[in-house]
Amino acid sequence: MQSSEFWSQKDLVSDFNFDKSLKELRELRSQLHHAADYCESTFLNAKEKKVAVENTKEYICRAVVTVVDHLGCVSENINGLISKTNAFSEADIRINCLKQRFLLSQQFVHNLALSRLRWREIIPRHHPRYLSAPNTETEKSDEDLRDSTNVASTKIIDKKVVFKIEDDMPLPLFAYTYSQKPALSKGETNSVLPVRDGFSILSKSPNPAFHFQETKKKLRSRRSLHGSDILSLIRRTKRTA
Amino acid sequence: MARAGGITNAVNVGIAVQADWENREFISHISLNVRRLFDFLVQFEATTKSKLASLNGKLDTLERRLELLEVQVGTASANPSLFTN
Repeated sequence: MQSSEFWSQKDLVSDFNFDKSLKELRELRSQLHHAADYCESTFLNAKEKKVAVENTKEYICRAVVTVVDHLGCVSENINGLISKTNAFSEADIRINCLKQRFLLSQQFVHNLALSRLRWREIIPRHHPRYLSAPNTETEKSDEDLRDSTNVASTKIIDKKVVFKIEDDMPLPLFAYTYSQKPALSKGETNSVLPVRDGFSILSKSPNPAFHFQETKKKLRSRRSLHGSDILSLIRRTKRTA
Repeated sequence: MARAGGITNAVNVGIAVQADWENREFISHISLNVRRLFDFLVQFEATTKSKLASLNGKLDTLERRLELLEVQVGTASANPSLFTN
């Protein structure tokens, strides 16, 4: 408080000095004009021209020195007023302090909300039957998305994927429970992902294994070969029967 | 006699010429100093302008930061339920 009063007094003094020096400089201008007129008239009227010229010279020298002095005073005052950046640094420090206090209060609020959620009586439980199993088709679509560059083509691929799912599975996906999950593909472990955001007590799903497209294609061909073998066996049994 | 008058006339002319040259020298000195003053004023104007511009920038940043803080405090105080319970 005292420091601010001190600074304000100092500012007032410097402002007063600056105004005073500027006023003197303005007055000096009119004085010089008057002096020039007087010197001219005395030179014209005087019998001893040399004396008048010498007096004028002396006056000019003094006037120049005075002008330089006044200009220096004014410039010094302006420079002092401008380069006084203590107030700015003080304001900067104050703003930083306010920011830190606000961040602290925000952190406190977050901690409070977190503790409230932690010690709540009714904790939300996510039943596994309402959780959707991650299908491999989504992975496939993701790979397709990675490969494709056009947006329109990706939309078409997504539609195809949806259609495939409907073809392969007679029942909709949400009808299956976690315990009765459908075997979408052999040899692939299905993981569960929570549907709802927020707290879930269930363990995190393992990361899905990475597959190249070529290997999948090979698997598909194997599957088709296996199906053809089965069909040929059925035909043979029919013939034998 | 006439020769003496001619010598004095020549001396007077010489003195007048010397005085004239002195006056010219004085005027050139004064004009040089006035030019220096003008240069100083121009330079001072440039430096003052740059300093004022930097001050303006500092003030702008301070204003923005203050506005941001005001908005943040306003949004925090608009939800008093966060601090209760």
